[in-house]
Amino acid sequence: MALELYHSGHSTCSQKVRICLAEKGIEWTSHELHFATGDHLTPEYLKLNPNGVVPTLVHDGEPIIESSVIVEYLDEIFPEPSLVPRAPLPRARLRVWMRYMEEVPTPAVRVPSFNQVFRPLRYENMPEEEFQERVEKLPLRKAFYRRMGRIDGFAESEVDNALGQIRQTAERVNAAVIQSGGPWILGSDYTLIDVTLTPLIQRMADLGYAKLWEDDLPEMTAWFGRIQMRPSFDIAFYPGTNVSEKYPQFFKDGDAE
Amino acid sequence: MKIEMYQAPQSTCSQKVRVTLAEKGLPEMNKDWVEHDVDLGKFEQLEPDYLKINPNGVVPTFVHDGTILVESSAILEYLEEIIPNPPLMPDTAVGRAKMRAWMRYIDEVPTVAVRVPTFANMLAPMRFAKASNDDFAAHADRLPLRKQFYQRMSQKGFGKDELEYAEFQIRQTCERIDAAIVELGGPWIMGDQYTMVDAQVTPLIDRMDDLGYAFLWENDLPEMTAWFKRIQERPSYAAAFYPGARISERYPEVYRTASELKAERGY
Repeated sequence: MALELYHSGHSTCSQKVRICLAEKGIEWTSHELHFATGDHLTPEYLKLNPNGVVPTLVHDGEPIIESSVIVEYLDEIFPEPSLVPRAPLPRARLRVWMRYMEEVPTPAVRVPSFNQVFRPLRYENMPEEEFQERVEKLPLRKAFYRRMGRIDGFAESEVDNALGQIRQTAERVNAAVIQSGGPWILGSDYTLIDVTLTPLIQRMADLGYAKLWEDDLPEMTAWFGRIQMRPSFDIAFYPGTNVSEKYPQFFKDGDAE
Repeated sequence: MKIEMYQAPQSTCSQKVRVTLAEKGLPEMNKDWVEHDVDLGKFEQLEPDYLKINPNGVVPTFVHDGTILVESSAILEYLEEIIPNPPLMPDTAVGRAKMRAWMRYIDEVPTVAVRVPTFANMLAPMRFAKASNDDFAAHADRLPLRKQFYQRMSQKGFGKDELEYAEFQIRQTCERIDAAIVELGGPWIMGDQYTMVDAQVTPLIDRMDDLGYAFLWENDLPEMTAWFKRIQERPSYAAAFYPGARISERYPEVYRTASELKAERGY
């Protein structure tokens, strides 16, 4: 049985899958893609992943795409240790959380990530025509790039909204840990929602936004502290996978603002 | 087993659950399951009592023997677990993963895109044409989710760029359905088994059809066109789209077709 992962060190969706693989103790083969050279938009990669995004898991030749789907697949084929509750109702509650994570914090985290790092890194000095061509080639999320623009980044209102969404996520984690009794989001068992939220929260912390929860959401703060102490955290976030390490030029004063 | 649903007839996410309930042998509203109508025109989904059961302030909310569940895609998976027959999911892990990847695509791309012409062509002019900027901003602010969606729109709805991008996204969805049927031999998106992704995408295509956008697939995507015809012939379609459930029937006084609006607006 061969498991291969097409991924990128600093992509949050790749990090979700790497945490899951580490929690399961599974061996896998790495194919690291470089966005700067357009590795994710080559015809060969688009055949594996028509959406032109990372990650893609290839299991015995079968490509599996979408990070949330990949982690659920991994739980089905490697049931131990289990990361999904067994009974239908708690399983449904996990899926509700996963849908919220996909709709709200996942796109929200892209806004400050692109504003502060990826836009100046990749697009600011790109000729406008080339930028437009690149955006046209994207199978998904063209509108995201158009809203961003090459030079100006996202409008202040978009950034405020994104931070509001991260704050809402942190409030919901905080309330869930109180309600379930913790230590994890759904209670005593660490599950796929703890896995998939981790890279999003880590990215926000890395960009300098930990104040969104550290000041007044003690349960959220303690949850993230516990997350960082799990062995899977260090395995998934190997050196160079935080954007602040990979692109230190955008972190001169060590704070996002 | 008692199933209740807080829902609205014209809400695509409510329709998605209704199609699935019918496929699972529970077609009839207020007989097989109990409806609690949420009047979206009066913003009942944002009332404190409703937010207590659905903190996202959207429909549907599903209640199974008193237990509350939100998020239509999660509800579909739950229905599969509590009513396994007939199965609406492939029986292998790879098959399930491929179907779930489709479901994620439907959630991320056409589900979001369909809201754009729905608001631009019908809901925004009907609900907000007379609202002041402050009132409109205050309304967006009340929404637990999707504030940005409102902030990208004005009281008149969306402009040319947003509408054209939404059409592109629906076109891409239709091209992918067409290609999947060619590749796997049909008659359904995942091949010979009708699955929950067929149920999930049905209300979105139906809405586009209802708004007059069938030209996006009817001219040159024969497999997509034939798929939608087969969908409409299933008994679940008639059960879920009962009289008054299509938006053109719900709000006939403001209904205009895409081509009428294009002739007037230029897009």
